[in-house]
Amino acid sequence: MKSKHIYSLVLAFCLVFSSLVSAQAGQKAIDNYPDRSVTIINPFSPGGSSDIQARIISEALQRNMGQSFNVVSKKGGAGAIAMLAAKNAKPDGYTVILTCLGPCSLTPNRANVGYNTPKDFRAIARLSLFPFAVAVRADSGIENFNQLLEYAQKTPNTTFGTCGAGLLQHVLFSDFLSRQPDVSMQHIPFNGGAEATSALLGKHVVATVQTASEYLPHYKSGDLRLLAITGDERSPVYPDVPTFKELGYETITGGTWFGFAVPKKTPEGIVLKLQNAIKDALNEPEVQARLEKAAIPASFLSGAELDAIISSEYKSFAKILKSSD
Amino acid sequence: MLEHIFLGLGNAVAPAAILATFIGTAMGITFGALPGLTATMGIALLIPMTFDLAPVVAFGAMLGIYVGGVYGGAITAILVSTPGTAMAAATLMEGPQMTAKGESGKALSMTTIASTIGGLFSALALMLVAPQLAKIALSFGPPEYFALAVFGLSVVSGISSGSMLKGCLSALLGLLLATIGLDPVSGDIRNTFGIPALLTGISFVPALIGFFAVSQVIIRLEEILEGKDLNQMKGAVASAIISAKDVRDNKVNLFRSSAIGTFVGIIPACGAGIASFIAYNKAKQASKTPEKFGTGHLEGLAATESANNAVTGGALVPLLTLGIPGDVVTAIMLGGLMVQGLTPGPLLFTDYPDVVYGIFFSLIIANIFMLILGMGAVKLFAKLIQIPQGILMPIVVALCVVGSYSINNSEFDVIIMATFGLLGYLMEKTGFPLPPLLLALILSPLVESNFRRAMLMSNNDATIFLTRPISCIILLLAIGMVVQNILNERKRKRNIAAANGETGESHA
Amino acid sequence: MRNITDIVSGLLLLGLVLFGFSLTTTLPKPLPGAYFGPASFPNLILTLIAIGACGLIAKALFIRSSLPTKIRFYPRALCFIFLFFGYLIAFLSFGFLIATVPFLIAAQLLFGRSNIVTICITALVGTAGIYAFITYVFKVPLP
Repeated sequence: MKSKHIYSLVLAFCLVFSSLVSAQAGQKAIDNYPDRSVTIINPFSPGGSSDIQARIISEALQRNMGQSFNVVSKKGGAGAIAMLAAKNAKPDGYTVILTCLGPCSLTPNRANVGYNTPKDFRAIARLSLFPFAVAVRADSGIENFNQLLEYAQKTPNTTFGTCGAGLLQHVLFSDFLSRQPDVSMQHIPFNGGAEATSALLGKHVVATVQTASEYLPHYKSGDLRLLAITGDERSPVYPDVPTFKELGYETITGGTWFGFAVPKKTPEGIVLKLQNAIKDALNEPEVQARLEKAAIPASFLSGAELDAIISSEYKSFAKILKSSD
Repeated sequence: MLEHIFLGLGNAVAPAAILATFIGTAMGITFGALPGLTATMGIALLIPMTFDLAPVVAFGAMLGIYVGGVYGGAITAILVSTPGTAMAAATLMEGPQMTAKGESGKALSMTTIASTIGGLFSALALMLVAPQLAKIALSFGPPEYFALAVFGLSVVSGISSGSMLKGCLSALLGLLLATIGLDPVSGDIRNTFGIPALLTGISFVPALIGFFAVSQVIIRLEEILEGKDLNQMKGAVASAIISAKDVRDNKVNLFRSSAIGTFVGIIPACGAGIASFIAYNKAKQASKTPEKFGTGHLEGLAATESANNAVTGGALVPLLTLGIPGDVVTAIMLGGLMVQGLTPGPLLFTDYPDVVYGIFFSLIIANIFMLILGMGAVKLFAKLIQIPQGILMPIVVALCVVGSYSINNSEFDVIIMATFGLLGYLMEKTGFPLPPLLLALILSPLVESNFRRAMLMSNNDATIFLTRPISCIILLLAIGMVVQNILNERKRKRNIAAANGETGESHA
Repeated sequence: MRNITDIVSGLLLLGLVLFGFSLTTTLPKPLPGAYFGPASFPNLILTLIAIGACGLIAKALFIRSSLPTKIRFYPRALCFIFLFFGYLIAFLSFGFLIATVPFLIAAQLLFGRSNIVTICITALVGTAGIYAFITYVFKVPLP
C-alpha cells in the first residue's frame, strides 16, 4: 500500500517537474526568441506588393531583433499553398506568413483546401490596407466606369483579367456583376498581378480588376486608365479616380489588408513580441518613407483586432460564396 | 541622350559600383555552381542590404549575381552532371559527356566564352532596342504563350536521341508529373495523394538534382564496377582549353543561340530553360555533324550556354520597360528597384535615364567580370575532376541532399530529390532519354493554363490559335520543327543501316 | 531476341495510366461555361501515354531488335541505393552531421576505395566543409 503511494507520489512529482521544465523551456524559448533566422512566407510572386512590404518590414525586424528574416515566396493556388505551408510549420514563431484577405477568408470557403483560418491561425498584426481598382487601356475609348458596363452589354464575351481564380479581385467583381442585370463579362485568371497587367497592356483582355498599386507605373505614364476604386474615400495616390461609392455602386469589401499570421498554437509571448516589433518598425520614419516610395498604404492593427476582422470576414465570405453556387 | 549615356557609364564605373558588380558576379557564380543555392536566393539575401545603396551600385550587385548565377550553374553540370540551377538543365545534354571524354577544360572554357557572348549580345540588344522589344513581349497573350510552349515541346523530337517513341513517353511522363498540385486555372487540388507538401507541385530544382545527379552517381558506380574507370587517363587533357578556331567554327551557332536566348528571355514567364533547349535543337538541325550531338559535342554546349546567358538581357527588357518580370529572379529585382523608389515602367527611361544607362553598363561589366573570373578558374575547376571518383561521388550525393533541402528548408524536397533520383536511374537503364521529361516538367503549366485561358478568352473557340498571327506562325514552326527532326532521324537511321550493311559485307 | 525491357516498361506505364485515371475521376467537374476542367489535361496526357505504351509493347513484340538490350543490375548498385535511402532517413531524423560521416565512409567503401584512414579523413573533412559552408556562408540552417 505504502509503496504504491510512494510510486504515485514519485510519479506525480515527476509529472510536475517535467511540466515545470517544459514550461520553463517554453518560457526560455519565448525569452530567447528569435535565436535563429525566421522565415516569412509570401503567398504571391516575388516582386509584388506583398513581397516588397515583407522585405521592408523584414529588414527592420532584422535590424531590431538581431536575426535574419528571410522572405520565401510560395505562390499559387490562390494563396492556399503558402497558407498550408504556414499551417503545417512548427508553431514556434520561426515560420510566419504574410497573408491577406484572399487566402484567409476566400480560398478556404471556395474549395476544400485543408485549412480554416480562424481555427488554424492567429494574426500578429496588420501592415497595410490596399484598395482595388478597375482599369482599361487609355486608348480603349472607354472613358469611365459606366462606359465599360455599356461596352460589356453590347459586346459578348468581354473579358476581365485578375491575378488568379477565386482571389478577392475575382470574387469582388463577379459579385458586383451578378448584381448588374444585363451585364456579363468573362473572367480570365492569370498567375499573379504582373501577368494580368501585361495582358491588359497587350490588349489580350479588355479590363483588369487588381490591387490599385499594380497599375501605378502605367497610371503615371498614362497608358492605363483607372475607372473606379474601392474604399470609402479616394486614394491620395490616385486622386482623380472615383470610388465605387461615388458612382453609386456597392462592393463587398473596401480593399485587401496584408498582415502577419502564425499557426494557432504559437505561444502568446512570441506573438506579442512580434506584434510589438512590427508596430515599432512601422513607426520608424525610415520604414515609413520606404513604404511610401513603394506605394504601400501602411495601416497598423493589433493581432487581436485583425483576428476579429478575419473571423467576421470568414463568415461573410462563406455566406456569399454559398449563395452564388 | 549622349549626356545620359555618359552619366550612366560614370555611375557604372564608379569604384563602389565596380566593386559591387565584381562581388556580385563572384557570389553569383558560387551560388549558381552549388546545387540548391540559386541566383534567386542570392538576390533575395542581398535586397535588405541594398536599401541604403545608390541604385546603380545595388543593381550592379544584383546583376552580377544574376549573370554569374546563370553561368555558374553550368560548371557543376559539366563536371559532375549535377545542375547547379534549373537554368543549367540543357547543359546536361553535352557537358557531362565532354567531361567523360576527358575534355572538361574545353567544355568549361567554351561555356565561359559562350556565356559571355550570349550575355553581351543580350545586353546590347537591351541597350539599343529595349522599347521596341517590349512591344513584342506585350503582343504575347495566352494563345501565343500556348503556341510557344508547344513549340518548346516540339523540341522533344530533337533531343530524344535513339528512340523518338521513348522520348515522347518521357515527355508525357513529365507533363503528367507537373499536373500534381493545384490546378492553375480553377485552383482545385489535383493528384496530390492527400500530401499537403505536394500542393505546391513537384519542386523543380530538387527534382532536377535527383533526376540527373543521383542517377548519374549510381550509373558511375556501375561503370567503375565494369572496370570503366576513365579517371586516370584524363589528367593531361582535362585542363586543355578551347582554341580560337573552336570559337570561330561556332560563330554562327553562337550568334543564333544568343538571338534565340534574348528573344525567349523577352517573353515573360518563359525563361532560360526553354531558350537553351530551342537553341540546342536549332544548332543540331543546322550542324554538319548532327549525329555527334549528345555524345559530348562542343557545338551543342556552345548553343545551350550562349542561349542561357542571353536570357539575362532579354528578361531585363520587360522588367525595365514595362515593370513586368519575366522570371523569378527578375521578379525579385523588381522588388529591389521598387525599394529604391524606382518604379520600372515606361517612365523609368524618361525620369531616370542615367540610372537606366547605369544598369545597362553594369550588365556589360558583369559579363566581362564573368569572363575574367571564369577563364581564371577553368584550370582550377577542371582539376576538380581529378579527385578520385570514390571520394567525389559520395560528396556529390551529400551535396545533393543538402542542396535540395536548403532551397526551401523543406524535408519533403529531399524525398522528391531521392524519388526522382531513382526514377532517373530506372529510365536511364531502360533506355528512356531524360531531358524530354525535364523539358516537359518546365513547360507543362504553361501549356495547360494558357490553353484554358485562351479558350475562356475566345468562348471555347479553338480557332483562336490560328486566327492570331503570332500564335499561328509559332504553331506552324513547331510542326516544321517536328517534321524536320523526324526526317533527320530517318536519314540518320538509314545511314547507320547502310554503314552496318557495309561492315557486314566486309566481314562476309 | 525480344526486347523484354521495353515490354516491361510498357506494362508499367499502362499500370501508371490506370492509376492516373483512378485519380482524375475524383476531380471536380469543369465550372459552368468552361469546357475544360481540372481533369481534362491529365486525362489527355494519360490517354497519350497509354497509346505510347501500347506502341512500345507492340514494337517490342513484333519488330525484332537487331541489338538485344540486356540490362545488368549490380548488387553493389542496389546496395548503394539502400545506403542512399538509409542516409536520407538518418539525415531527416538525426541531422546532417551525424548522418553524413558514416554515409561518406560507407559510400567510399562501396566505390572500391580501401584505405580506411584516408576514407575516414575525407569523410570528416567533407562533412565539416559542407556544413561550415552552408550554415555560415549561406545562413541555411541544417537539421
